[in-house]
Amino acid sequence: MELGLIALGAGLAVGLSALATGYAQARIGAAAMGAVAEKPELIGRAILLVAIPETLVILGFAVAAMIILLLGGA
Amino acid sequence: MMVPLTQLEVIAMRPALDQVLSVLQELRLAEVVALVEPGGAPPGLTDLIARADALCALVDLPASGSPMSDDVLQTTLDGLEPVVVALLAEAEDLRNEAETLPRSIAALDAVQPLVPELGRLNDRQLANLGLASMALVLDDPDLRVVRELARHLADLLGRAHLLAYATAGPGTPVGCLLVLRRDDLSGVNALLGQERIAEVGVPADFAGRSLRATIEAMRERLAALPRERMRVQGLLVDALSPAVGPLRVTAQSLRMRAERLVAAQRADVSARTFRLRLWVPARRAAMIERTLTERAGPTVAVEHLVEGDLASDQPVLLRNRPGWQPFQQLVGFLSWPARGGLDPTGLMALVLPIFFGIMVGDVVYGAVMVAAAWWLRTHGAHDSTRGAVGRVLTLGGAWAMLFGLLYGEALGSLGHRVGMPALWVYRGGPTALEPLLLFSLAVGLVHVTLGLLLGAWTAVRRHRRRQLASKTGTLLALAGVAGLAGARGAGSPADVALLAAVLVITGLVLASATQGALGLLTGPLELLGTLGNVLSYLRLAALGLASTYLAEVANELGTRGPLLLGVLTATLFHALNLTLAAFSPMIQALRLHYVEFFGQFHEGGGRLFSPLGGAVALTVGAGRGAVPPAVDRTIPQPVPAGSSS
Repeated sequence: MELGLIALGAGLAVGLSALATGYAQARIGAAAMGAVAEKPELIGRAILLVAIPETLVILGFAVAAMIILLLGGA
Repeated sequence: MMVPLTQLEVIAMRPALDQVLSVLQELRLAEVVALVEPGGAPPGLTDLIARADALCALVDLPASGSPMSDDVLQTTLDGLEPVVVALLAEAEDLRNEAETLPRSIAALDAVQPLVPELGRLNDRQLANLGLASMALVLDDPDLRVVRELARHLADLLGRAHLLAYATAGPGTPVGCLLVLRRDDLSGVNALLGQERIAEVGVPADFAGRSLRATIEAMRERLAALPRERMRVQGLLVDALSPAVGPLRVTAQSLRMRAERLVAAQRADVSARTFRLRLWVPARRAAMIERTLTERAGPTVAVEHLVEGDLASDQPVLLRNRPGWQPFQQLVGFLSWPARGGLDPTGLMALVLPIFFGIMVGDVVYGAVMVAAAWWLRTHGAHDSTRGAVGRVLTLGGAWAMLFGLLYGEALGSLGHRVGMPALWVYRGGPTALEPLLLFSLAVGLVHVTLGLLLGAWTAVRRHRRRQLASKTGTLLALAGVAGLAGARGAGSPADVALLAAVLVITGLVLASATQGALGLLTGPLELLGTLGNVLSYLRLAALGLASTYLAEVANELGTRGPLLLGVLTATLFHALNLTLAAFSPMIQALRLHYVEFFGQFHEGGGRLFSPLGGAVALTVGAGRGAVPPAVDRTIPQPVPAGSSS
């Protein structure tokens, strides 16, 4: 397979999942900061909630790594 | 480590209540259980404390002397407060003057070259000519007010006036010089009042002088202001110094009294006796009982409550090494462990800096972080937050240096370029991805497995069979999946893969069986969730690679163009990368603990043990001149339950 297509696929895997993560974090982050403004002791849970969608981009990274390792190395 | 707590019940004659509470306050080992709904501290007492604290905050002097009685304190505060308020108002005026005068001088300086001859004339010389002058400084950055003023003056005076104006720079006040016939002065003053044109920066003391004289007088005033401010500060210190030491001691004494009053309201008080219930560390119960009977008198009876009588709202008391305190706070950020649960502070103190090091993995970045942490700890001895951040950063930086040696990185690829060997794998190389991913997954597998084991252990301690079966099943299934992946990767015989598959199925059956019919759905989902948790550790590799490649960009840009520009660009990018490396890995390491690790065993919702005297001790320790609790000798009258004082 052409190297360019492999790179494009890997880039899309990370890029699209990063967009999804960003969208989710924006929504969660706004709500979490509102909660922290009223109850500062919730800061730990706020960090936790904001960090949860990052799994999406990590999984995207895993897919990109698999694309590069399995297809790029072949 | 979680310290076991037990309950004591103290029964004694009512007059001994305050003595009992005083002893407990000194011991700082007992939390008073609310037997009746408590009220707050009396408002009068709270007000006195706030007033004394406000005065003490103005002068940095240690606590000294003996506490005042309430009447003396009231008289002292009533006498001091008007003086202090007046001096503070004067200091504020001087501060404002010091801020506005330079702007006014700059504005008037800008006008002076426009009318050099007129600017030199004083009021008497102008009067001889039948003229008068006015210097104005207007806060009018877009010159709208000045133009409006010029229009009104033209309407009022025709051409018989001169208005010159200039600004020292964009956004600064406008300096104006108005020269007019002396007879028109009152009309112009009326106009200025009517148009509500507010002068700024030319105080009344400088009114009526020539432009040049005004500027000179303002300069003299500006030069005299520091001395004036020192004089007012000196008067403030002189007024407060004799009183602040005793005030600090008295405020501390009042705080302790307020705490005792609130605690007394939690006791069950009858006409003659009272009953007080306490949470205390189990190992110190005998000592507390002995101290109470020795110091509060023979009428005090202390009884150990048996397990069945214990109240459900038991607090949790955590005791860890002093160096682990920052990590204990990080556990508290999420939620304090529930009663009977596990305190993960020690594991967090051990693993979190390692995760940080894995992600940063650079000798120079690590060294800079250790240096920054050392600075924070030495320059923030009185600031617990800076000390805590410094301690965490020290450990993280040390691990970053160690992993930097494993990766062969110093300022990213610079170490590799100058021949620094990688003891394990260089992350910038083309073959680094696979080993880094496998390493991250292995770390995740170990960490999540440890969490599951702790979850199973908690289930055993709490006799929760379902939870034990679920955790054991997930553990078996996870081991099976890892075995299958390993067998496929290493090309192991089919028997190994078969054994791993059996483990997966057994684990799934075990985890599902405890959930009934719903288990058919939740069992596999739980396994998928746990696998997702393990995959989440890939962020260790992802963030590390991102940091490495940003450093590579910095080094590459550094080699382009002139040497100086290259060095500047590289320094800027490395500084950015270092800042990101200090924050992002810490957040990610925290998240791996909060979500992936704690999720396997941590039960939050605990309430931290809050002993009588503990909060007051914190207040004392935070300020200068710590007052030992023994200083307090004010014995308040016992307060019956539900009454107000």
